[in-house]
Amino acid sequence: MTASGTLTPGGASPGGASPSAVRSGPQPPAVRRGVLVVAVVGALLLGFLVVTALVTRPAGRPALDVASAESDGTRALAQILRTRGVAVSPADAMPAGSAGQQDTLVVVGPGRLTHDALTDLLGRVWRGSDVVLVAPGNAVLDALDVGIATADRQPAGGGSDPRCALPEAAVAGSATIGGSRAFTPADGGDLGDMRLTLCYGDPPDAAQLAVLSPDRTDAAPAAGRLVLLGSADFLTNRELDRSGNAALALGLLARHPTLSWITPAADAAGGVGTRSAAELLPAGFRWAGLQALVVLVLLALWRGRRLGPPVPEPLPVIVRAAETVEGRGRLYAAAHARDRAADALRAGTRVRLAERTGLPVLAGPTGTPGPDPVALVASVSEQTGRSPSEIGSLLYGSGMPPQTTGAPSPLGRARDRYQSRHLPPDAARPAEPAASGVSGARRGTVGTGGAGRPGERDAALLALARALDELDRQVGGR
Amino acid sequence: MAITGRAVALALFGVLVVLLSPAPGLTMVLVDLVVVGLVGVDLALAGGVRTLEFTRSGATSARLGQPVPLVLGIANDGARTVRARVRDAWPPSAGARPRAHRVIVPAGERRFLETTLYPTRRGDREPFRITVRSLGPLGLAGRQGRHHCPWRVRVLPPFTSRRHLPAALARLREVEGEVAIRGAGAGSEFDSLRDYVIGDDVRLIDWRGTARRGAVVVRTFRPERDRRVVCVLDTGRTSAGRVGDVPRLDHALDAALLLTAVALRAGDRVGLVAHDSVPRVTLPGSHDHAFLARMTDAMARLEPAIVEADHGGIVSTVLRETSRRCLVVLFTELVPAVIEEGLLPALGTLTARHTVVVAALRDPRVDELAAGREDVRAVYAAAAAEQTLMRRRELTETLRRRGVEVVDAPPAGYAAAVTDAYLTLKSLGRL
Repeated sequence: MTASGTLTPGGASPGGASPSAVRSGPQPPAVRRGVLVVAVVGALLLGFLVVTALVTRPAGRPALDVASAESDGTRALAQILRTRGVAVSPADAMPAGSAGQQDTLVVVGPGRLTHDALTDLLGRVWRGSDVVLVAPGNAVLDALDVGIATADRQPAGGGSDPRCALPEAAVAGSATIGGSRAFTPADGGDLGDMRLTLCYGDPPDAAQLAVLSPDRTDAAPAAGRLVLLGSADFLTNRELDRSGNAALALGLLARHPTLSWITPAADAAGGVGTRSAAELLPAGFRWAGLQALVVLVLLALWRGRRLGPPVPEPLPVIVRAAETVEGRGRLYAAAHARDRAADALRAGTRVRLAERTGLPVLAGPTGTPGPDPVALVASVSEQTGRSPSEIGSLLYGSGMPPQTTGAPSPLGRARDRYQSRHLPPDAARPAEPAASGVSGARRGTVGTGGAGRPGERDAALLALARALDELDRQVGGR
Repeated sequence: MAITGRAVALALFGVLVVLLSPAPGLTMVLVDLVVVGLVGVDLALAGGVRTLEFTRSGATSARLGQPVPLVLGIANDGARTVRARVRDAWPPSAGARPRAHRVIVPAGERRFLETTLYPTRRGDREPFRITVRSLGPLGLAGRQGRHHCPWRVRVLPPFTSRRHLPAALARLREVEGEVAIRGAGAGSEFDSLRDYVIGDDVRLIDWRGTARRGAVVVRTFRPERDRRVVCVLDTGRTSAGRVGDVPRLDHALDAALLLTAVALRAGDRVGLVAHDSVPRVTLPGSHDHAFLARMTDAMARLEPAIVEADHGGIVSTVLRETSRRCLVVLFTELVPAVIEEGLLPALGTLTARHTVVVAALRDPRVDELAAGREDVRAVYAAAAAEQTLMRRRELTETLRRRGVEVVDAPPAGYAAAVTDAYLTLKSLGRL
């Protein structure tokens, strides 16, 4: 919106106010585009929320929970163990093991345990406890340092036979351990005084069950064991009654009267197998981020290179001509210069009335042009039918008219008629334009007692202005 | 040099390649090398910017409000085709559109670009700089350079009061007695003798003619021709005040143009003086009809100066420029302090030799303020406005007593009021 269309002298608006009000801010097309973008973003967000709500399962019990009767829970196993006299207690942290106590520890998700906790577990094995780790990863196996690693390849299908000399496996016969993780002796690994038995799957290259027992020469009363399960599927409610799964499970877990079913909390810090979000990202991601930085630099170069600099414009100094008048008005208002304002309003009205009634406007003794007071009052009074004293007080009074609050007045008729509540007909004063406004103001203030607050007296000025207007209209109109 | 969005898009595609690549580090280096290499090749193959030659043609002046069509010619003297974005930059008040052009100039050929100016202000406008970005064949990068091709467009005052011209000319014909309704006692210059008819003023009887002719004849008069009018523009600080949407000076220019148009038609000589603290423009009197165009041209570059007008200087400049009695129309503002201190002391010498009209613009905003009664603040503003009007009235009275005609009109009728004052003086034979 340029001002080119409005550069006409004496243009459409006499006040010059409305065309100078130029709309700023974004243009309608830009606003429409913004609304469109917001709408698209809103629609995408809504779609995302709907899809998320549809695909997310309601929160239930986690898999391998001893209290869960779901198909992936292990409640059946826990019940069987209890009937065999084993006390099964679920836990989310390692129980404080007392020396000499021999029990069974099942750790679901051993990757969440810290290095120290795993070392502690190994110590328990040496002290005679059974420790069963469900699907340990390489990180856990490295931390344990028992010379076992996960196998590179999956066990050949259908390998449900024990293929080993472990008594429990031999008793159970074929079992479907399931899962895809298998174990094999690590290259150059040191078993560390442990005896290794690999069962199921494809031993020794890819066994689904690995059992390590301390190879101690001193005759311990009951040797502990470290059992690595490739998967815990065969322990679940769904799989427990298949093949020899239940027998294998009881053989592995029921060797001690107490069993702790440990599921470490997911948010436990310091787990050897847990990886940060950055570690989970693909390797190319960081480089892609770096490349994105390069793109950002190029983008800055592209957008930053302008097609020539901005052009300087020598602007003329243009101010609104009426600004000084408005400023002086504000100064009057700030100083509550009522007397001066009232004088100016009266003088202006006097000249207008004189022009209308055809009286000559003469330069007064002070230089201010004005008509002959006596003639003006007489003429105006004749035209309006109002009393000369009232007119005289209105046009030639000085200072503020005093406020009256219902004081009886001999000229109440005129007051009612013109509703000049704040302008009671004062005692008719002869024309004295040069009379000091200060004395008038004092009279107004003191004479009425208590009407001296600036707000009220400003209201009196407003009333005076309206009364003068009314007079102006009466003389001009009829 | 400059790269384009395509180069950025290529690098962005590289992000995807790096993300999916098995060897991301190496891929990234390769991708960036490819981007840099292609940009380099594109730069090398882009047409030269320095070998371009620019020429301009088109209008050199226009009235404010009219579009100015301009043509920019590009000749490619280089060996390669130039695919370029060209920005012909003008100051914002020139309103050049479009902002930038796309053009393809084959080697040895020439193309023309059309730029239209929509000026928003009076005055001279000159192009700032031509910026050329010559893109390579792949559109990935380009060379950027600048050229200069001087031109000047003079934006003349709009002369919007031209619409008052027919009415003013009709009144002029009336004053001159060319139409049936004769203006009473029009003029003081002897025109011709005619037969006496009952009702003629006996003082107009030409006795010598009556004796020669044998019948009673009377002299007839017509308005003076070949009088002199001088428009004096006060370009001091008060002329910068904005009334409506334009500064006072522009209102004055408009009124001066209408006055000049009418005075030239009436056969008078018109001169122009623009003055603030120093004379800005001085055009000696002329009754050549082309004078209006010369005056418009001279007015185009006038700007309000933020200095106090030197009225003594104005008066002495006018006295120096004029030899015979003339009508001095002073376009100024009735600011009491300025007029009382500057103009009044110098006025005596001026009114002694010339007829003086002071043409002041009445700000409608002040009248609007004087009528404000909405709240107490408005009443205080009204009082301030009344006081201003009173001072103005006082000043007008003072000037009238000193024998100066005062025109005080709102913007809508300003030009017409000034011309009316001139025609009235002319019909009264006071020129």
